[in-house]
Amino acid sequence: MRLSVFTRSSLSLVALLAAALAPQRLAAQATGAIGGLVVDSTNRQPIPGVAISIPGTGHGTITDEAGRFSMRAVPAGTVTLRAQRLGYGPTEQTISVVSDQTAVANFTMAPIARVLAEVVATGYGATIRRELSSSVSSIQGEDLANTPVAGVDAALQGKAPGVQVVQNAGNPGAGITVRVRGAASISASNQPLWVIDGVPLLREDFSQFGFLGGQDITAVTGISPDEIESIDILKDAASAAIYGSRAANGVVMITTKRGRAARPRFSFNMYTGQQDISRKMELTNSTEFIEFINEARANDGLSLRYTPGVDDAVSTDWQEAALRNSAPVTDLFLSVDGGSERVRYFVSGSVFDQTGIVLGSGYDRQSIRANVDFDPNTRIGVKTSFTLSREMHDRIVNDNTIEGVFANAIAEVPMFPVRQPDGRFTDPTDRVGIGGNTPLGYINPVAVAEFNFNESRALRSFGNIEATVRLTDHLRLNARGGYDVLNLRDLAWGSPRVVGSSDETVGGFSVLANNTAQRFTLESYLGYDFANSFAAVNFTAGSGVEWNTEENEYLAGQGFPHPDFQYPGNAGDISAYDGDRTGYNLVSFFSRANATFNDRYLLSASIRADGSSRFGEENRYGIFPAVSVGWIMTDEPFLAGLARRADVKLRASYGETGNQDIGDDFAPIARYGEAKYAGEPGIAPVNIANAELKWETNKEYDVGVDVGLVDGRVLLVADWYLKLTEDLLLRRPLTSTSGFTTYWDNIGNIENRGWELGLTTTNFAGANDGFSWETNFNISWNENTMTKLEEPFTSGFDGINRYEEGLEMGAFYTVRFTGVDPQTGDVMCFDEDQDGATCDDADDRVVVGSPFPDYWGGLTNTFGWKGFDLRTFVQFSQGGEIYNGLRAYADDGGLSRFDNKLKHVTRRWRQPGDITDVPRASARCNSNACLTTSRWIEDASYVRLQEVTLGYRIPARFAGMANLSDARFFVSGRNLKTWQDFLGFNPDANSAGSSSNTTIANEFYSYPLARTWTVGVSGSF
Amino acid sequence: MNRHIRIRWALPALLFTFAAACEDTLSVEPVNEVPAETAINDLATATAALAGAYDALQDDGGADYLSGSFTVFNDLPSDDVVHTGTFDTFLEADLNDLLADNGTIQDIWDILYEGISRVNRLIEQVPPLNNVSQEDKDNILGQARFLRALHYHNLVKLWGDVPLRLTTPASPEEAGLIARSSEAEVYSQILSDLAQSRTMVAEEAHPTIASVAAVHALRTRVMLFQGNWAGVIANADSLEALGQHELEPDFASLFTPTTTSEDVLRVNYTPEEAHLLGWWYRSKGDFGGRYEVAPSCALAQEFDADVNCTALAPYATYNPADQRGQVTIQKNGNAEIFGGKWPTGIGDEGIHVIRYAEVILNKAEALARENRLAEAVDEYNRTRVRAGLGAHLLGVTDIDPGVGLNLLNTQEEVLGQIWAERRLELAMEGFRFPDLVRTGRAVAVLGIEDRPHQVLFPIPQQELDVAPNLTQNPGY
Repeated sequence: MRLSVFTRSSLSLVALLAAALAPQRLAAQATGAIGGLVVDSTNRQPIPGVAISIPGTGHGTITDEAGRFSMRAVPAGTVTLRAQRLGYGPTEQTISVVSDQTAVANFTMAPIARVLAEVVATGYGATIRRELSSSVSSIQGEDLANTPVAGVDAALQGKAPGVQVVQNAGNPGAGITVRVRGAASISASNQPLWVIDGVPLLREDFSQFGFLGGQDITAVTGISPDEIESIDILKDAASAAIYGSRAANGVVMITTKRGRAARPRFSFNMYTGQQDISRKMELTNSTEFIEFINEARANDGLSLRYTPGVDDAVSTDWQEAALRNSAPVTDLFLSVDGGSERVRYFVSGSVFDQTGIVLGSGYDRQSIRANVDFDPNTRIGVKTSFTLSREMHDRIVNDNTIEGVFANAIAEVPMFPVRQPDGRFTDPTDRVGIGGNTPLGYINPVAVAEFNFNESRALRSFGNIEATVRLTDHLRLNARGGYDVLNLRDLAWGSPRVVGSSDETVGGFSVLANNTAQRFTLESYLGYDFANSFAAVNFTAGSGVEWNTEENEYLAGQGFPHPDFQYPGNAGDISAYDGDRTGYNLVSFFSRANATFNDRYLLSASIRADGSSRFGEENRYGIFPAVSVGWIMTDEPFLAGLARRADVKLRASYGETGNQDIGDDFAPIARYGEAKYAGEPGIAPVNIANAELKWETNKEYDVGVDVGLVDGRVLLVADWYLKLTEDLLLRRPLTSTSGFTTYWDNIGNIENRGWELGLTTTNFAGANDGFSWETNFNISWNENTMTKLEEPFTSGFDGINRYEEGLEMGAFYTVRFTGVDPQTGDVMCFDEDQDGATCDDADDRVVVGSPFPDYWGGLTNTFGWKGFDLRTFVQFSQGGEIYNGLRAYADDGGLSRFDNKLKHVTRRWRQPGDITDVPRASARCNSNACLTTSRWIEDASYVRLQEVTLGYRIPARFAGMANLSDARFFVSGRNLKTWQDFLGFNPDANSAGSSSNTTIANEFYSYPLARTWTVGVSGSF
Repeated sequence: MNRHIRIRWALPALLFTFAAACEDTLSVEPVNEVPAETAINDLATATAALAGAYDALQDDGGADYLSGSFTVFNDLPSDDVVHTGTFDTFLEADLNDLLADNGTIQDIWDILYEGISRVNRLIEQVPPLNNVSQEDKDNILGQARFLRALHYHNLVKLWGDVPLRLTTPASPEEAGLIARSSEAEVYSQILSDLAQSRTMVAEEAHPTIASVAAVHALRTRVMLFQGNWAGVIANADSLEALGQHELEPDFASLFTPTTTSEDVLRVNYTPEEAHLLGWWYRSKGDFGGRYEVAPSCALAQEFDADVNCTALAPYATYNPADQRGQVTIQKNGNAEIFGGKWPTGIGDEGIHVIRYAEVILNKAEALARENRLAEAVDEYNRTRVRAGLGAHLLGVTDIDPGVGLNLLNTQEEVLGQIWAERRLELAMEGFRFPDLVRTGRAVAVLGIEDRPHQVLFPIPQQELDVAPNLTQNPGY
């Protein structure tokens, strides 16, 4: 049954004005005040934008984003108070107002359509979904809780349409790539702005280790997912434009949990589990390896290296040796919340500890949070939010190094044992083969894990104080001060005990580095609310300032008197030192107007002006306007027939956002920096300046529809968007004869266009503990094109990612592999320029694949029966490719004898007539197997059973016996099965990590993904 | 009353942010860097900028100049050095199969021009300074011009025609208009810079500062490449007349952190500026290297013809009389040879830019070319004798013993001996490949008849993309 709640009147503008003026006219009488809180009956969440009125008197006000209202100058006596809001059934209550006192009137409102009624944070305000005319995805904290990953960014994968989450590597706490509606920048950041409780969060990687292998870290892990109430992702420019200069990649708004006005409630949530590797790489064993290498040598007329039956006596699975088969992961979370009408508190503590599946790696975090809300009187509300956290990343080097743990475990040939019979680790002085011709190719990964360490420790505090002052019944002033202060200390130790390492050569190597980032923000804004039965208007205007500094130092020492000394202060030599300070500031002015007419015509317009110190005086300010309109068409009288079956809202928006997130804070200034020479202090130019540098601008169009069917049991949100990025902030290539290879310029355009779809269906409603089944499905398509780029360039391993006008960003560009010649076993390549030379001819390079998927998404099914609940989550990504760079060593035809080979070389060509796609063995690369071609570009499509969780909620009567008001047990599995063709571990891998825009979908010995089983319990009392 | 309360709350909050916003919040100055236009403003800052210009030679950040790639890529494409590691860009160089997108070639090109750009700024910004004496200016500018000549010669010997950039481009657009100048124009500029440098730099020799001796020494190298034999001899004689340099008696002590009288110019390193040559050349494990590149068996046989490259028999002995063999080519515990001229993997020894032995061999070759054969033999005997070998004698020495009488007589035979001597003396110091190309032997010696264009490096592809007037070397 559909409730009709929207009164449709058509008051004239005169009446509207009269109503607005009414409070002033009545101010002289004997009056009191009314204040209170309005909450949603289903989830106890405060509801903003509720019109509170005394019918027939002209008295009225609107609840703020915390759901609170106050109304002054109400004539003393008994009055009827009405609360009214789109999407909720209206309620009334009668209270008595005493002269010069404040009467309390709290409302509980029942939503009429579940999803459309949810509160959506929009930046400097909140609204309910029904009134939203732009594109925002919302995720509840409970949908992310108990995901055994360090950061909330990783937990978002597959949860929201239009948001692509890429797990570049599997190490605990690794940096995650989040792309909202495609990649829109080449040299400026592609990551969204993270805003927590209204304050922009430090997001970047502050470590100075500079590890590759996708092993960067980011500051996003500093917030415990347990503390999150909800996440709203502002996707289109119309919603994000209120964050102006930093919103080009979307805005992720995090709202933390807050206290309720109730007696103290203790909540707990804990889980513990085991992880192991989800998929091992299939590599040759000793017998296969020596046969392959001998064949490679014989094919090229070289002497044999190994004696079968002798040299394959040992066959070590180095991956197994470097793995932990049951790495524990544990999360503990305790909170207490409660309070009175005046003071409410939420205090929590959490501990997360994840041991890595690869030896030597791990992550742990401890954090505490105190959110205290204090209302000195009904006109003033104060909110404070503080968190302290400590993170410890135990990191291992991987990728593009010969001193990695898992990288070496993949590379190491199998004929060596991990340890020699005398117990010492096998090292590069040990040998096998005829005449002892083959040493262990790389230092022993197990020894590296045992003796060396690389710690990145973050000490972090962030929070804010916010005051809301109701100046009049309709006018509010918000003032907010926020801060985010982070110290990241790196400590690395390379032990001389690792035989064959550079650390052994120098007698031990140590790094101690500190980086302190500080951000302070100050904002104030006025909000004006007005509503009558014809129109609801909300107007916000304000200004803000943000100060950022980053200060770092770096010290490395080598040559230690004792292998247990580990700080550079004890070193014989200081081998590197550095230190720097940089910073940038932002000044902003913003305003937004939201209006709803006749309860069905929605209009929102905003404008923000941002100034950034990163640009020259002439170009500091950027203006970012946006407008969106919506039409709840089923509320039209002429569609009343349709309205009985459906709720339909059409949306359209246009907005502009900016990007100023470049690594260089002083690009418009030509500078000289330090260039010391053999102990002499020296200076040298560091850049070519561009005084004209300015914002990168995104112009985005969005058209969407929200549909509710069958009493809201089917909810569909669909959007089409076109995002045009102009004046790209590009590290533009420059002839290096100028002394520099790049300079910052605004040049180039990128276009992203796509569709996204979210569908939630309640298949079985499950009344009275009966069977319930809800399905949540989302899918997104995105197409990316560089519509303007002056100079083409390449990035990635072997220049595999191409940047050229008319192509997709980072399109895979190399010589096309056309097969293995059945006659010769050689690699055959497409001769694009038809000059005869192939495979090693740069002129034969063509576009052979895409680093981005065609479409991706997730499917969640939640079942309930009695106290049981079962959730399955399948996540998918289809149509993209990945460059498997480690095949340059593991599938090179036998050129490198120090690297183990992919198992599939056992399918290689051996004699004329063999039909296979694996070329013959050739130690000198006469087969061209060692050349980079599309042979190493693989299909990155996958479907992953990401989660299965079975829970049981103890019946209230049993819970009550244990003095619990609620208790639920669960068992959960994550990353249980992946269907993929990719020969590596993780089709999402990117060894360049989350901060790289131009090297994308390049796999090169990145850390594998874990499969996790956890058991847990949550409840409250 | 109520209204007063409201204003009391509203004003401070609003004023606070507006005040902060209106102040100089958006003017943030760099802390550890200085604006370029005022960076060089007195003798101290000009001297610091000169140190910065020398710093490009080190390239301790990227290790692409003397510290690493540049030095290695002057030997790796030759028959002296082979690739034993994992870098594909190095493999291409070893196989004489360079592609235009070879990243290491790009890096070398970049750092050479970065060095030139630092020098150009000195040459532009020092002369107008009115608080620096002419003598100090000359000293700085003379060294700057020397460095520019050195950079351009390093470019021209590997790439042939190269862009000649002598001033700082006014804008990126202007920079992109550059075209290549002919080898002759580049050489003419090199000699012009050296001529000016000769009148400006200090007479007093210093192992790490370009002085008059260094100018003469570099001229012998440049003129040898030009075939100006008389010029080579004249400058070698001028250098000799200064009496500042002599051969260090102990060959091994040339490759230590200590300077010797043989150093006409060297680049020193501190532990935090370490170079990578030892790391790349030395064997793994106790020897402290990565073993990315190694001397070839053919080079080992130059020192000892009995080295058997196909069997795994240990390289038991080098010609015991030639002290250079055991310094240059060392063996690990498994009888694999590795480059030994850089004694540690740490890399804080100095690297020679020009040592006196090279000048002697330059002069010897010029004398032989001028058909002054007896003098030529006497000249190259100086390095032979220093290495502990017997002196050759024109018309007497049997240069191919055991085969039959094959006396050292003809110009061709003397040149052959000088080239062999050069190979032994300067092995792995960045001479072999340009020498083979210069003397026209590269194609035959390297067996690249099917790809003779590989004697010149390709202009990096990225440069062609951003500077449309640049042309590629033929064959790429």
